[in-house]
Amino acid sequence: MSNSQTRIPVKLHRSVSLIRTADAILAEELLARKSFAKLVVGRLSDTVLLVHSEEEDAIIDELRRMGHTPRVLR
Amino acid sequence: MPLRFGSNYDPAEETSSYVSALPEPPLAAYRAALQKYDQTRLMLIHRLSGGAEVGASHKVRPDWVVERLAEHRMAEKLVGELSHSSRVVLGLFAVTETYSWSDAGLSLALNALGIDPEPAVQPLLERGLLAIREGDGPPSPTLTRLLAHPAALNASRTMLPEIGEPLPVVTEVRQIRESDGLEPILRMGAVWQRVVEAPLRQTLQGTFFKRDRERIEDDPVIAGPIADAFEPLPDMALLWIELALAVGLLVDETGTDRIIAGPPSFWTENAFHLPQMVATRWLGIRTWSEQGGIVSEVATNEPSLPYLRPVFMLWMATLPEDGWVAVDDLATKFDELVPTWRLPTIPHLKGGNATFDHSSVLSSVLLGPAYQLGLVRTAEEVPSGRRLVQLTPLGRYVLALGPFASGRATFDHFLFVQPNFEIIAYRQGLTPGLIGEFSRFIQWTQIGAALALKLTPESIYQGLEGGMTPSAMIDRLTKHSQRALPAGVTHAVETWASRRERVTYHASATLVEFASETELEQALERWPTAKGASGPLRITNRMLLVEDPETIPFTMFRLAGQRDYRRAAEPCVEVEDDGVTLALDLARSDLLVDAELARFSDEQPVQNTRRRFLVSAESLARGREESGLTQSALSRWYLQRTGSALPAAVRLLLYAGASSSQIIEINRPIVLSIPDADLLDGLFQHPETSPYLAERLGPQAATVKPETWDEFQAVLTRLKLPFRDGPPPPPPPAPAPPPAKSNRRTKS
Repeated sequence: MSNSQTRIPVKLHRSVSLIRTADAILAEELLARKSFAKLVVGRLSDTVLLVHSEEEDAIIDELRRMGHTPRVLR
Repeated sequence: MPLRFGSNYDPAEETSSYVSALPEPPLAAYRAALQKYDQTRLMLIHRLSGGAEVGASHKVRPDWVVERLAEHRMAEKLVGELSHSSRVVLGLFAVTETYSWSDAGLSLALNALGIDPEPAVQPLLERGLLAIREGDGPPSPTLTRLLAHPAALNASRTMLPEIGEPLPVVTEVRQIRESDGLEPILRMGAVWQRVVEAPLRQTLQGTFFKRDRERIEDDPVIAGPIADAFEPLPDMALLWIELALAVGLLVDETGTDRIIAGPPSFWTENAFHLPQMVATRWLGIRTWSEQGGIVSEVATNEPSLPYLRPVFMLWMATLPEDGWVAVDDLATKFDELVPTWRLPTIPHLKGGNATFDHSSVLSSVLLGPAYQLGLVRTAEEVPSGRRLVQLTPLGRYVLALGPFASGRATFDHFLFVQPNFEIIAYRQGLTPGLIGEFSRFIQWTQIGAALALKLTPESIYQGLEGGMTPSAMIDRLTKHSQRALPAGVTHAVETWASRRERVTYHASATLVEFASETELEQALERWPTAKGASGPLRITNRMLLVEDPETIPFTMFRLAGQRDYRRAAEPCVEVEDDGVTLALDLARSDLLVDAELARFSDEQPVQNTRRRFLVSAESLARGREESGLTQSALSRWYLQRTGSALPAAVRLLLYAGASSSQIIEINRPIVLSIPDADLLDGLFQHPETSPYLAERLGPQAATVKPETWDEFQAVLTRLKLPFRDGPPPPPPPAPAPPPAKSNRRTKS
């Protein structure tokens, strides 16, 4: 079997903006706040929330207002 | 192109703001200036700068000069052939590390050095070491700039003025005072922290937004009075910002109007040499003046002092290292050289009256920033008490006239860390490097004779953002603390740091999506992970998050699709014939489209591996109520994601769901079916029948107004037009097949 046949097909998503929480309960807490929830585009998993990159400042501000201090990875 | 040093200039003609000139790369500015030269001038420069003979029919290209001078040997050779005065000119450019001087500014500086400007500058222009660029509009020595080729600066050395009458030297002094040189670094550290918290926004004119400016100017840590100061610094907060921008501690954000903080690594990379860097930038800074503060963006004249700062320093450098000079005597020297030097702006009007006290103008520079930067120390003359000044080793080093100044002795344990997270720091222990380290994770709350700092959750997070670890922070505090760190402080640093790990914002993550969980597992097994590097993180059963896309082993993958989320969304949904079913193109779809579809449609059971979503009245109502979906937003979505307009079927559902929908009227028209189009034409034309007809549906059909049907029947009857009201009669029964022919002979 050649190398190309054993290659795994994948789809690559580049430059995705998302929020990752330590646990699902924390994600629920975040989503329970309306002003934050409206900035979330979708939920990829229990602990991963998809957001729009152009909302970065608003998202970080909102997280700080909620008492969180997000680690920002760029 | 004439050189207009001291030419007939009328300040009244000055209309343009010199401040509005945009900065441009030095070499590009120099090249652009040469490109405006005429051939005669270019030919002269070409010849005097060592260019090969060119025939009369050939043209000299400016790039030849630019490139020839870029050769370091050529620049050194040309500089070596210059007179002392011309080398002083280049020395001014070099010592201030500036590539552009105004005609008026350079004239003032040279006059104050006892040098006639024109004979000193002319040879530099003729050899292309400097280029002259006229401003737009009327001739103006403020707008006319002299631009140095960068290689000319590299080949230049600081040159002292020829002394002539030496400055009176004082040797018997008392009360020597020298600053620790840390004040600018401390204040810039505080500015950096504030800009890390919130960038500074600028207007189109380049000034700060009022709120941002006030935030910095009203901050006592940044703009409060300096404890060890002889002279006030006007617009002090803006001076720190200008200097921080000049050294790269703050940076103009590309593509925006914001000023943002430089990376935390700036401190580790530059702190050691920061005092020299800041001092050099101060020597060259033109947007701030010791007498007037920040220069207005609409100013038409330049302040004088920025051009005189290096001159003052060079005159002081002519003294013996242990010699002192009285500020008064130095001021008198300048009075002799340029009687109008005290005027606040240039160019100086002929016969201008210098009303400023000469000693105070000089003191504002030498006992202002120069003292704070640690370039100048001061004392009192015995017994007169006159104020004296002397260059420090750092001052001579910044002028490239002395060896590296190693700085003063410090001691390690200078912090007093209190259980309430407040920290007192004694200045004697600080160095620029430590100021940088502390600026990264402790908030400066007071800068004075003693320094106060505070540990806060935010400051700890800033430190973590900048790449520090909690243990590194605790180590720094422990190393410099006079006593063991309070347990609460250590605990708080660790707790705050751990809280930060609970929410992570990935601004630009890379996700690898697999077709199945099995394939994801296979990929994880084969994924090579370098030592110390973080591997991929599983975030769903089909998706991995990779922090550094460079680490993705692409050789084991086949790309079935990729999407960059910085770009606009692409069409990846097809509208099926019924208008309400949406089919997802899996190869082109992205993560956002699922969430977008979920807002106003419902996913249907998968058929033939295609994911479909149905738009219904209920799903649209949900979109309206939960997400505030509007028809215009949905129209945009369809254009973006399907490449076509909102389907009629969906518009119909939106119409149905709209509160202001008009009622659809239903009626049952009476339709005439006429055997011949001519006959229908007649009905529409005849005055008795035409009032009863409503709309022509085709060549042989028309509707009749239902309410007039009875009257219309009567008219038709009167006109003897046969008609039938009702369904057509059943077709007549098929005729019976003819009886089969009999072979039997009948009887006739």
